[in-house]
Amino acid sequence: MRCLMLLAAFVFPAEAHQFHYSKTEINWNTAAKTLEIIATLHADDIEAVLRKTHAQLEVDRDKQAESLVCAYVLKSFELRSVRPRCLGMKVGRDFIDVFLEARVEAPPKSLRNRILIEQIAGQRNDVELKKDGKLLGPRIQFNTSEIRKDLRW
Amino acid sequence: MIRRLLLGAILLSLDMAAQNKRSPIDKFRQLEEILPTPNEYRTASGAPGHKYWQQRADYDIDVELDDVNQQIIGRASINYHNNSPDALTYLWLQLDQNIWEPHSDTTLTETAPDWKKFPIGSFRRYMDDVFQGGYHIGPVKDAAGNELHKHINRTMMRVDLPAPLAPGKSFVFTVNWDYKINNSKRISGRTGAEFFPKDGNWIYEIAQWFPRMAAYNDVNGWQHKQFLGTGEFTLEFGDYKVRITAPNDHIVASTGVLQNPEQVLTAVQRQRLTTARTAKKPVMIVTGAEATANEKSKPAGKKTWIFHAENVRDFAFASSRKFAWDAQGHDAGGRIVMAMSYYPKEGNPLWERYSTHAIIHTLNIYSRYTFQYPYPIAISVNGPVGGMEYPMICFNGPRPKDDKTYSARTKYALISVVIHEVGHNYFPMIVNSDERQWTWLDEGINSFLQFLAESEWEGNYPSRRGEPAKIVEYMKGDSHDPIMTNSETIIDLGGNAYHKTATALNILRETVLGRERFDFAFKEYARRWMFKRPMPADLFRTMEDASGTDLDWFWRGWFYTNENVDISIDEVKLYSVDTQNPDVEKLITKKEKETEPVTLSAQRNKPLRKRVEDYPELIDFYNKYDEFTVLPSEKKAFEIWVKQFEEDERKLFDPSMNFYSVSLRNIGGLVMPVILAVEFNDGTREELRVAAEIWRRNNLQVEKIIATRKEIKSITLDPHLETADIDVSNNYWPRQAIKSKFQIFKEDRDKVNPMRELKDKEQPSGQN
Repeated sequence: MRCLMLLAAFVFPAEAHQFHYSKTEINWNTAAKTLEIIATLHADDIEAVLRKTHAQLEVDRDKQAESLVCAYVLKSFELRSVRPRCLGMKVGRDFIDVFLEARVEAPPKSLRNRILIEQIAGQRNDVELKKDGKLLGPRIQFNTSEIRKDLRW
Repeated sequence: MIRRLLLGAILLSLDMAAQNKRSPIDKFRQLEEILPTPNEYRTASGAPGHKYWQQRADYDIDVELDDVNQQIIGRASINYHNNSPDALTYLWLQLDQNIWEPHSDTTLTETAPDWKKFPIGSFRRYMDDVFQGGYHIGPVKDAAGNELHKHINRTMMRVDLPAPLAPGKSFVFTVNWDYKINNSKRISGRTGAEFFPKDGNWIYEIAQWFPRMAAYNDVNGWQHKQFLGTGEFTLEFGDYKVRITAPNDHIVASTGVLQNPEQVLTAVQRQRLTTARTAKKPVMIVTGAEATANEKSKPAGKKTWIFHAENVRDFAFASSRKFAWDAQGHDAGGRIVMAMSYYPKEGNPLWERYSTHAIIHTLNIYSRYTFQYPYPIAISVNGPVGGMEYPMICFNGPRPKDDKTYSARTKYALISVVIHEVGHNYFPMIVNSDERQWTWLDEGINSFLQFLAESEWEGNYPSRRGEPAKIVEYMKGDSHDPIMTNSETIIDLGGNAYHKTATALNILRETVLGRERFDFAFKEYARRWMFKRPMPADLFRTMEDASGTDLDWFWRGWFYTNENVDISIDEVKLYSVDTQNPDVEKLITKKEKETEPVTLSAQRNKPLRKRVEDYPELIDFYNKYDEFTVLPSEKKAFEIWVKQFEEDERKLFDPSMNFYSVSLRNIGGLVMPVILAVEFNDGTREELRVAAEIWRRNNLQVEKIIATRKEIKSITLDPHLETADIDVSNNYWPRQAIKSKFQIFKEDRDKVNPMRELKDKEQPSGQN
């Protein structure tokens, strides 16, 4: 079978000391019946990706940045049978925290995490699962060759 | 509940003998099993030994920058001095440009991306459009013009010598080369060319541009580990005479001192440079308007800029007709150092405002913690490279937007990167560590000093690295590497070699050693290894030697493992002295009983009429006996018991003293000092700082006694967030509910934020 590959027109800015990493925490709040999700992304990385369509965007200054970042994360972070909403983001010097929330009766059984993986070579995404604030196990790693994984609660 | 503490005359406990010291594992065992054996080249105290040696290479180079075809054409005469005790039959040189050969290891070892969205930059490498980078090396010849046999092994080249080079002897040889300069928009790196389509000009930042001698040293022999793109450079010191030929309308910034200003600068530019030497603020040598006018010029020929640099381990330069140039003299202990910045109009207004100030600030702060900056020049250049360091010159990327406004993040990114890259002059350009092997030994130390310099730039500077709380997310879990991981194999270079190392050193300074001891020892390390090549053990040993502190536990935990800090206050128990004196003890017991809660049944039963009230004859001795009456036999027993103690020991039987036993559990694995903030019921507060050695016999669980006449209301572990404790929810007694990051965000989001509202009405930061 022939598989088609799609080319992405993306050039990452010159950076001698670059590394590419994100971490997402998913907390299942059983009392509130919600998933509380915090995706932490490197500000330079997401900014560079969004500049493909919004030249010179600055995530800590442009008013449209929050809606663009939210849309990107919602599209790239797909929980099976769960559709979170984006509450907003908080921008630091290095990282952006993006806050998502979803009402759930039961936690999702799998996750497809493509955050920045398609745009940045070497991108690695770690995910931590928590139940009522308690960590459930080691971090789950997503990268180019592993973008979908089962979640065990 | 208060537990009574019975004092005994015999304090020896046989339980101690039954404990197995190896379970749990001894985290304080010495590092001798790991560190190299000291020798006459490197001492056990961490200093260069009495027979320390290092090689030297002096370069005489002619290079031409081809602005039409974006290529470098060079010829070098290299004088290699063998200061080692070994005869050398061949020499190794580094050919770093070869990582951009179409079939380099860097390219071939790249793993597959996501096939559904293949980055175009990576895709090029598999198509005919691949960049034809890499060196074309011409014949290598000795001083007499005889060709020498050479063998190129990817990014390394061996030159075979006609006869072994004896210790103390030198060998002169020549080599010529050329290569295509990478267009940084397509292939980014530590060097490259940036094209500006609006005016048709280029900025060149040229580095790793000549065959450089590989290092030969007492630890690794030849350091010819292949360059794959991450592990930077391991180099020898030497003197450089470099003649750079460029279009005659270019401004060239370079390592070294310009030898022929009369030929390459105008009289006005030379006069401005003279003024700048003693100026109180940066002076424009080429103004922005002049630089903009230059953009429109066409070169009428070439100019050769001659630079000399003494005792440097590398050489880099930048060239463009787009450069504005400012300069200011900096007094480095009675010697003038010229701090200079080169930038295109696209860098303003940020660059003219901050770059040279940041250079001088760096020299001030770094020199205080290490040694006086020894070079005559310190340069920061804006071009295609995001941030990269070379002797006396560095390349820095941040720029404002096209509309000349910039965000706070961009502003601080520029100041920080200038501090960082200028700071690299100290580590590794002068303290010449082996970057190919250990990234952290220069990047981590430099990031630590960068944090100190940023702290003195302005209050509340938004530093990225240094504060322990900022490393917590990285330290959680066990998926990160130990700091002692080779440069090319570290997964998260920034989090590990830069951030974790900088934080560890800051904790060592603030929490373990204190500023005075740390600063003395650190300065000693810098002084000992200035213009020499230290290894990790030399840092570890010097810090212990000069501070007078065994830090093997610290290096072992922070540098050789990926454990983290998570200490929990599990329990607090209150003890007071059991004096055995019935007069005292029965009174205390009576008071305790009186304060016991009355059960619900007892409360409800109290109003019920009792039978003994109707029949008083039922009342006997026991109804009237006060159980707290002291009996003669009890007094007698006390008198016998107390005789076992000496008179001065009896004075210690103070029933008003409270002994709080604080149970601490080490969940994360790293042993660390224990810092406890104790709040008392009378409103007072005390802080207890206990050295990490509290864990030396049991690194999993210990009990700490707090003796006080006051009653403790609460205890907080690590109250100043100085240990990078990854879970602060267990740092409180009694436990406190800690709001999650998610809860805090939701609450903040719903609040009216007057600052945000007012800020929205202001001009964007940096707007002119």
